[in-house]
Amino acid sequence: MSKELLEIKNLHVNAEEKEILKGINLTINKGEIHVIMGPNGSGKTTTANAILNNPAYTKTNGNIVFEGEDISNLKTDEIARKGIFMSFQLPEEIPGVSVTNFLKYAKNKITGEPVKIFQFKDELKKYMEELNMNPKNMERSLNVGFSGGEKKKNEILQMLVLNPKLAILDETDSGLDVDAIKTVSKGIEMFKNENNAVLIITHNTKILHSLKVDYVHILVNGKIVTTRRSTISKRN
Amino acid sequence: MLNLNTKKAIVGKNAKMDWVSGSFGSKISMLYPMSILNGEGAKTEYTGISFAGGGQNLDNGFKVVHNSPNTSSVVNAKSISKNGGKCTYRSLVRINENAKNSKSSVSCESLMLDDISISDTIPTNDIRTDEVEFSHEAKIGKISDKTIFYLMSRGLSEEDAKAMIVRGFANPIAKELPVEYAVEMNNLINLELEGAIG
Repeated sequence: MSKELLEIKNLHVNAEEKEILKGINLTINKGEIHVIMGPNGSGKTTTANAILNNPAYTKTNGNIVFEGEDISNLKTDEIARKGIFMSFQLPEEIPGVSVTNFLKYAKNKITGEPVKIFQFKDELKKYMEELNMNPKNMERSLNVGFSGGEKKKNEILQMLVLNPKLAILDETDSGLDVDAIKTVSKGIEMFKNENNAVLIITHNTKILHSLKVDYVHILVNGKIVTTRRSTISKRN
Repeated sequence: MLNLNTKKAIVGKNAKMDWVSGSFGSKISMLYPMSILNGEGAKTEYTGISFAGGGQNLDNGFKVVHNSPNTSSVVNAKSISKNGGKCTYRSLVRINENAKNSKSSVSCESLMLDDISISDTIPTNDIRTDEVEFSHEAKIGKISDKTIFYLMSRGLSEEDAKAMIVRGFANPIAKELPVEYAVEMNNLINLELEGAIG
């Protein structure tokens, strides 16, 4: 089995007619944690959205290969079912749909199998305890009235439940206090194993101190200008 | 099919009248049930949902007249329109001079599934005394591309995503209904979303 999970080749992407990504190359193998850093407007969020083929962004050149298959033109839900997950910077609110029901429905769509309800609830309970989440939130409408921190934790909870092969975390750490960042890091550690990978998009280095990161890429003006094996990350 | 009907209730002392309305199938519907709160302490509640598909014009709402002290009315109306369908909420709340210490709260929310659908809110509020509590809340929204993208990134198809948003929107109404009606309403919403009727 190939270790290669994701390969982005010479990716050019436009948003609203403006070229944002100007030739990105990136390879992520199973078992790795990658970080993309860069100033505002450098194209970090665009990269994440392009991988999931958000219709608001247009690919003008290059392609994205996931487990040997070109996924550049698949629909977002098809990409999600291949095993790519994205944690949103600003998660959307869905009134009238409880977190439990939402996750059950999404899990069923991702796996294509019926969800075993008792097992599912136990799993949910375990993850929520680990993430210091209020169990009452499970019956609340998805993200409605959640604080910024609760929304971000909820994204991590979804990642754990949906168990993708590649998790892209778009600014999941931004706006969080030190404790919440620790909780998010803990969630990432629980998720991570040698068969999956994580791509963290951030503009600050705080999260690097609590995770064992393999590669850090610096994105400036739509291009990756530096890639290096991480040296500032936690070493146990 | 045209659905034009008139229903009125005269509500006596400490009595309560509940109206539940679900409007799905007809081409044109104009339906405004009415409660006349004549007795002191009379109460009424209206819960309604409309779902208009292409070519449908659903003009629904509620009328209430507060004629005695300490009366109360609660209105909770929702509408969904898609494929060029039109939903209108039209209402009258009249609180007469002698209806002191009465309360009325109206909430209406509309959801449009695309750019060609229409939603209108035409409330008439005629309050003739100061000693009342009255509130009116109206919200009109459209399903955003961002929300669809968010749900699709969780493995839902575009249709699944829209259906989930609509069911969530209708959920507070479903909770108010007796179970048989709630099940029926969910089935009707699913049929509407599949485009099987309407």
